[in-house]
Amino acid sequence: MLTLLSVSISTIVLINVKKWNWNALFVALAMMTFLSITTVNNSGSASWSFLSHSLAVDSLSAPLIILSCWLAPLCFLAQNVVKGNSGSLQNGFLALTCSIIFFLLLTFSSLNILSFFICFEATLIPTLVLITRWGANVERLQAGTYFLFYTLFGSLPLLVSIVLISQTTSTLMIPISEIVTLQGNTFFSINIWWIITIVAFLVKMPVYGFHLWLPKAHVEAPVAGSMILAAILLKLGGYGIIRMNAYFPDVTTLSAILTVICCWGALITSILCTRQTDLKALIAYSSVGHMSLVAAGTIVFSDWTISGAIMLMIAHGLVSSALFALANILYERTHTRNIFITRGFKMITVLLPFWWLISCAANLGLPPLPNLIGELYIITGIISWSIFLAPILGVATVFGAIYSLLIYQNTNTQSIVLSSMSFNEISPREHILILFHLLPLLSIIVAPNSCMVWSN
Amino acid sequence: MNRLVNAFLLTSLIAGTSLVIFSNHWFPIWLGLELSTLSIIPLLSYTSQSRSVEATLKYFLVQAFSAALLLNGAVPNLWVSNSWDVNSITSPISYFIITAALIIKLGLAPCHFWFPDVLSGLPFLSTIIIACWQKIAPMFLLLSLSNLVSSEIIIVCSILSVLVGGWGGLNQISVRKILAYSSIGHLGWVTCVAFFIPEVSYLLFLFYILNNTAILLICHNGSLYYLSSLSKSNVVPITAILFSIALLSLGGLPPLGGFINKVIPLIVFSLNGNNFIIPFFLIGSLISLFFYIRIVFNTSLTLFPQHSLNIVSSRTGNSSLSQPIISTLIPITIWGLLLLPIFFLFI
Repeated sequence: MLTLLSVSISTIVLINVKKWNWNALFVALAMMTFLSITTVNNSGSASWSFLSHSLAVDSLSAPLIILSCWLAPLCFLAQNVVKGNSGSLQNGFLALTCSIIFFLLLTFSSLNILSFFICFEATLIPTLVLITRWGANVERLQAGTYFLFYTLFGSLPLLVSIVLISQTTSTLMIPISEIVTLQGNTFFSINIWWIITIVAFLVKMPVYGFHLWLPKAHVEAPVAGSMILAAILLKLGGYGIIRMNAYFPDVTTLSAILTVICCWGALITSILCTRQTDLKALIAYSSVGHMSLVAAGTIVFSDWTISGAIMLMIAHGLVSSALFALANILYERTHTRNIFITRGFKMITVLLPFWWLISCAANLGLPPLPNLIGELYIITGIISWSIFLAPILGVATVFGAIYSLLIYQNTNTQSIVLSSMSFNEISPREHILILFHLLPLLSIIVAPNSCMVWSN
Repeated sequence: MNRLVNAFLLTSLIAGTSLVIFSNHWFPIWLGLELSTLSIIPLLSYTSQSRSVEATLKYFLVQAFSAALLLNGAVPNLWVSNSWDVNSITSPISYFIITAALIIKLGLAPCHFWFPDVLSGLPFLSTIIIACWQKIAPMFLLLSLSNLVSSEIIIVCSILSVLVGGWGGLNQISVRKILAYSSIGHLGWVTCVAFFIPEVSYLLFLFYILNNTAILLICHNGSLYYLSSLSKSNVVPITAILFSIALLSLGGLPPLGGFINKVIPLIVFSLNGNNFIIPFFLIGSLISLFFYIRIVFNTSLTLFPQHSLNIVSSRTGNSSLSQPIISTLIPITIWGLLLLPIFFLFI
């Protein structure tokens, strides 16, 4: 693990390479990805490996570490417009992205809850700078403010909860968390403790009530920011809930309420998706829907739901990032994200509809892609928890299929609007970008155990 | 100003503060406070702008009044305990009057109204003296007295300060007023810890002073007096980034150094079972983060249409004495989180 971290922090040195800094960084991060695949644990039980004093990898963090390492070179591949900036601005962009990846690696591998929190927050500042400095519209300042303050509103109570946990149990180590018992004072105290711990991750996921920052941040962010945000930073929330739920084994009333809220949130956002006009906002709301499902799964906290949650997190990260990259491919050429205008590109692009088809099919949960496996596990677990959520989750899945097909049909098979539009060819860089998003999806189909091991 | 006069006034300022720190008897403490006040009056009002003179006069009135109140509060203690010793406060009335005097001197709420007014009338180098150096003596007194008769007035005033510091800075466009309200908020965090473990308060106060000095020095270099001049400033570009980092550190974002100013008080409060006051501090800190973010946005994250002459002039006029001081203080804001284990020596 230390190898991985030191490689990731030393890639920042490559910013100073004169003419080939983007390529050098791409190669270095690709090598780091290759290193990170060794963390996968195929033994079938959730055990800690790569154990050191303060860093370790277990079956929950290994897929997420690989995902964050995998997304890093793809971000550099996607962001083309920044190359028009001056040298120092390019270096700033590269440094920010590398620092986000470094802090993400630290977050997923830290054994100490306080260091997890510090690195969890440390990803905020570079993302904020990415959104507000390299975004394109005036609204990016408000988007950055919403992003920062929604997250901090949730995470400051989390800090209080971490401090309280350290007072009560005099340890902050994650592997011990199943053994310690927290004693609140009255009946309400342990529930309030759980709420203030969870709110940070619910905001980060986001679930439906706290989701307002996500469409704004996604629409205003540059494509690399959107990709990292959708792929990894939302998964920090799921990872956090799974880790912290071990301290609170018996909060039944509140977890029941939250599960229902998350399931309804998945349904509502799926319906909202069908009425969006901005393509990136559509994909953002679909992210909210999928992650609400993950949140419901992690709050129910049974074996099946958490396995499904991990699988859905990985699959959704890849697919959502691919969708944002596809949307950006169109945006770079037409400079609009309006779905009434970005229509009918099947006529003028060569391989792109194929990528759109696979990404939208994965988004709606087509077998045998891992999105379906994750959703199936989560829905099965939630239905066994309470049968009354079955129609809600069913309708949410149907609407998920509706808007995913809507995205595909609108961008590809509708009649094209701008007949006199000059449209550059899709370069091999962009083809490789989407291909490398979708290849891991296909490989997870044959090895689902790499992303699904969790035994309580 | 004549160099000799400048040196003399600064020396007597330092002498005044040292007199407060090193004495045991109430009279030299009052003497030191008055000496430091009187010695900076020529320093502050040397520029003959009427705004500076007005600020100096207000500052003098507030400080002289509170110093007299301080001496007045030491007298009932003399009546009760027959000693002028600082460490022998036994009567609650005397403690209350002394604490009230120190709260006025520090600019904690509800006695904070003079502070933004004074600070916004002075040029930035004088602001450093008022906001950073002049806080040392009253803070030292407050911390050494809090061992003896702990009263909850400190907690009430610090909660009020944090909330006032947050809400007061929201509507400001003058950078000095924003930094004044941020100062009020931070002193609220620092003094509330004084109720529990005064030694830790020293650490937090020192950290805040260094961070604030760095920010004020950068503002002085770039003459950043108003929010509108933040984006047109002619600082070296790396200074703009470090300025933003120092401000975010002041706002308490991890992994920057100012985070220890938030996490150590939280640990101290929960260690003593005082979880009830924590939400007020969190609210104040979140609100004050908003105007830090506003300054950060205006400085380095947005580009206003600039006259080309502005870009050229960033190369000149920056080789001043303050640059090495800034370079020494900025690493604290970046690496300050590594100082967290020092705190655990004091529990």
